[in-house]
Amino acid sequence: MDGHLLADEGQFGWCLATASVPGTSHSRRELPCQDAYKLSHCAIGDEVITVLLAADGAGSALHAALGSEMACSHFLDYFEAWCSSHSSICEFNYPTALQWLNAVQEQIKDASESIHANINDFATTFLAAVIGSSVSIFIQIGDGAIVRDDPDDEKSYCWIFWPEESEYANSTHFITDARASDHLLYTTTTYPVHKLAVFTDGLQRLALHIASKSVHDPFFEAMFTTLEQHCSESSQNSEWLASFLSSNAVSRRTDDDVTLLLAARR
Amino acid sequence: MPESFEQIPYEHSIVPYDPQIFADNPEPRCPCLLLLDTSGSMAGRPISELNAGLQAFKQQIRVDELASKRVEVAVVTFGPVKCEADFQTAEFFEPPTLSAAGDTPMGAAIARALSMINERKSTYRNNGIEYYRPWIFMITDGSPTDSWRQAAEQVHKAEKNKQVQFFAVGVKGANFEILREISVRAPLLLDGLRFGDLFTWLSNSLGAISHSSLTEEVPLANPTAPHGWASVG
Repeated sequence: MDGHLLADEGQFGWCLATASVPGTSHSRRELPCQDAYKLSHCAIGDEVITVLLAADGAGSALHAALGSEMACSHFLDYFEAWCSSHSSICEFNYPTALQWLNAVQEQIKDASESIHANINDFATTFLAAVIGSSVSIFIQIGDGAIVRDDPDDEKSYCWIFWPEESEYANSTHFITDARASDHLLYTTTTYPVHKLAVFTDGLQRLALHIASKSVHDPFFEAMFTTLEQHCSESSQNSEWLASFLSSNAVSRRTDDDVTLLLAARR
Repeated sequence: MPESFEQIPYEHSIVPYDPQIFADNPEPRCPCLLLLDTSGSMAGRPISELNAGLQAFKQQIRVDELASKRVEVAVVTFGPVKCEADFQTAEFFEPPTLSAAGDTPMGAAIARALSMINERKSTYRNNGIEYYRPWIFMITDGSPTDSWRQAAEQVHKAEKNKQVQFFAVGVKGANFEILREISVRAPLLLDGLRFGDLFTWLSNSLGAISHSSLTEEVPLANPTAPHGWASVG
């Protein structure tokens, strides 16, 4: 876990678990896991912000794994710098997210040029959940999803952005696209988040009902129940989650890389 | 795939095992329409090799569990233009046995194929089913006996709008000049009557696409590689 942002590591009042396992079709094609993720905490003013990030490198992109890793690292660095020059999370807004997007594209472009590659070789999706004590910010480009506890119904969960409608099952948007800013999804909430899940598209069909555009509550109920059972363990004991994501039950239903980050307020 | 007899931790202690925890979504579909020339000139060995190829295709695609649920196959023959098999998942696809006779109304056949693809997409949309970009895979050994320019235009437009992917394979004797005007990508000349290899390539390609949540552009094996089943027509 990248916890270098705060001196006092710990959970800051959260149960956390993260895991990422390569897809069986990736192993068959001798591709590494092309998902990346980060979970960290940042201080701003009196608040501790919890940041959950995931990115899914495009299967055909030569440097996909690098692209997804860069997207996450860059955002964390950017956000850390932003926190140190602002006094409240409420100051973060859509233009800030756009500025980040431009900056990360620049960085990836530079990296690509230095190895005589193309920016599209680093194509990746990106999901970010920035959770404060009451305000939270969500940013996304491409598929995958962010799910939170439903503020109106403690037994339910709701999605933040529905995976964008594109005609075909296997097309999505990437942070490296020329028109990425057209597809930058951004929203905030003032309903405090108690439970949060961030996942790349490998889990979409297992956790969401496509036809009705809704969240499959039992999946998240099972995840958060198990998360709470493991809460007293070390800050990120995610072995149970990695084991679950590698299980037959999951790999029978998806052969893509699966990445899942879970956070529940204690 | 044989089930392991070893106790799998997840299923016994970590996450309460209940298949209900997973959402039940229909599989995304990968539709492929086979547009096959069954005109008189295909009589004899060509049509019997084609029939054998179709049987092999059925077997091969079923080996892949995920592909058999996702790939959908329809068969339209010409001439006359006839829908021999409407779209159904590979799991249940039974190739019709084709016989050769008749002329080559390629224009009408292509128009029919495009219209069936559009109808299928509508059906998917009405049922909340996701799908991959459909394929039309045409095999012919002759020249169109009807007017084909309008159909060619429709193919070009559909390709431009990324509505379909159209592949043309000519058996020896096919009119490649016309095929080059119809198909956006270079038509292929089948090596002899290697339908078996053609259909192996097709089932592998569709299989790869049906597994792809990875990428839009799935790299396909090159049929015109040395020892490949085709050359550029």
